[in-house]
Amino acid sequence: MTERQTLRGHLPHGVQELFQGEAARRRQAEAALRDLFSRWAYGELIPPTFEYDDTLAVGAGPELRQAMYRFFDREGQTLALRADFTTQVARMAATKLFDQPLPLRCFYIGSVFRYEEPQVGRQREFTQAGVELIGANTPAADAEVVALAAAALEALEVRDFQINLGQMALFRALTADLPPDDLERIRQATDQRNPARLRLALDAAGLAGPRRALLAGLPDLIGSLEVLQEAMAFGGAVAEAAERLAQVYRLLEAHGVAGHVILDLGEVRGMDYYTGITFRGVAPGLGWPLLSGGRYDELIGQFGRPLAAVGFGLGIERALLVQTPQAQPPWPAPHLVVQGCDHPACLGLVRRLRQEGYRIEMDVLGRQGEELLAHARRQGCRHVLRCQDDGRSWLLGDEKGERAVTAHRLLEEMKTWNG
Amino acid sequence: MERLTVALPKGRLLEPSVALFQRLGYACAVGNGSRQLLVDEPAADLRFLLARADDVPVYVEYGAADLGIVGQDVLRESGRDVYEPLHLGFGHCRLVLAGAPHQQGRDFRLVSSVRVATKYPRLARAYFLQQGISAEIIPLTGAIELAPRVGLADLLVDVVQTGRTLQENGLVELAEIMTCQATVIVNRVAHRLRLAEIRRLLSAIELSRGAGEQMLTADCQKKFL
Repeated sequence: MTERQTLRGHLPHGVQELFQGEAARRRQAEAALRDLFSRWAYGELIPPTFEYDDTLAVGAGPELRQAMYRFFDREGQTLALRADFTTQVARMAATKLFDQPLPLRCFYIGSVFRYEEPQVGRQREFTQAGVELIGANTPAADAEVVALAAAALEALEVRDFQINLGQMALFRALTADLPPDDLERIRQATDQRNPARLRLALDAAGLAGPRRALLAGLPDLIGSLEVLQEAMAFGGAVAEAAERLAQVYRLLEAHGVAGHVILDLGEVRGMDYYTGITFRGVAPGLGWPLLSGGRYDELIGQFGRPLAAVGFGLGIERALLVQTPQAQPPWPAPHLVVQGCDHPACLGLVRRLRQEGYRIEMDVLGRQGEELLAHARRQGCRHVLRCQDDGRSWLLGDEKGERAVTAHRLLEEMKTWNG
Repeated sequence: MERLTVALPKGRLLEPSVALFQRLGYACAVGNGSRQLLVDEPAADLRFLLARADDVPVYVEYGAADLGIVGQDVLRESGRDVYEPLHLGFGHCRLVLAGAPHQQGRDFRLVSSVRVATKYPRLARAYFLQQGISAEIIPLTGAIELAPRVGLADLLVDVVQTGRTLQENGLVELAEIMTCQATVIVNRVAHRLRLAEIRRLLSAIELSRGAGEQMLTADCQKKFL
């Protein structure tokens, strides 16, 4: 290979190309999710890949905004590749979908782009699938989306997954009156589950009494309904938030997925965005979450139509890393390789076999005999076919030699082949 | 269930880390002439992984190790996204700005660009940004003290324990950037999936660490916040 050819084969950092079996697995996963979401009565949206930068920046936190790919169009407007679907869905819900009956149930599957260092299962271009349930602020809506997240991980055959379910409304209620700096210090220490740092942040904020005790305990409040007791006793908006989470949990028990769900009050990521429940799905074998989601009741209003919403997004490449079994489906070999031919009857038979669902490769390089059989074998196909007598009969060849077959006989025999 | 994997750092924190686990009753047979990098604990569902200190946060962020022990200087410099549930009270050191004595008292804010040699480019950059100083960071991998002596850099940012190395090279400390100690880090997913085991191990470590040891200096923590 010359240097020039090598260079031409290079890819920019952070993108990947999928071949054969891997491509098939990705498409299978997408199909499984599309099918699942449809059965929960969610409708697909296909938003554009790029939009105006300032539209996509709505509701994106500083980190996501920094990670966006931007470029100019010829009028000098700044465009950006989407780094997330939720903002686009929010825009669509607030504008073109304004007269649709509520709640709206939408799903999406596609690439998102983030200028970040690639990690396991997340390149700079990666595939997200997710749902948004818009126009319903009820425990039933929260529970439906969490239950659907669990169903999605099941549909992808992710083994032993777990969903950590938190409540941003509780943390917000506990910290509502704090100055932004104090709040952010407390949030970061909680998010890092760093008790030493959290103590100092609570000191710095001058917090004492039961509120301090509850905040100091949040990183360790992980478990079942019992972790909500303290917050329930707190009263006010804090108790309301805890009660809401308890309702969602009980609904998840009724949905039959509570076995996968752990309540986790230290789950405080995405505070600028989430207003209610938040959740993350994890599974053994991957150090990063597979999916994350929650309730965000303030985003869609920024597009002019206040609507409550809850949803999640799932990283398909990450889910595939922990999918069981890890076996790759093989590149689908042709069932039959047919020698190149120009007789209508022969091409008619080929058309019919394809209609029956067989993969038929027709040679276009004029290969014959041993050469054609060797070519078929290299692709994992054991049979070749050629016509004789101007397309009136056929010879089926394999490693044992050739024999004459009728079209009917061929179809009967192909039914007995595997794969 | 797979064994819980603990990443230990080569270098100055290895010996106290091994001693810590041995106090808990583990054999922890890594280092000390053993060339094994991955050691199963015979009587427990635990295994130890020996890695370069800089690599410990990477192993833990990716989940290749569930937990790790690492210095806070290395952890902050790595910028890796991990939980940090327990500070260990050993391996204390300080990250400082240092230079030749004539640099003392200079107002670097009014210098167009100072050249700074360091093994900690990320922390150094953050420090100068916060101080409003324009600095050209020169990343090096060792023997930082040499840089100011031969005119490669005006200043250096490095960790000191006793300050003897600085002294031997005719350098003085100009400012303290942060104080550090050894800390336990935990992978974010392992913490969710193996919470009970991890909690048991953390509380055992916390108990054995002893009440007399200072857990962290408030001063150092304020600087991280």
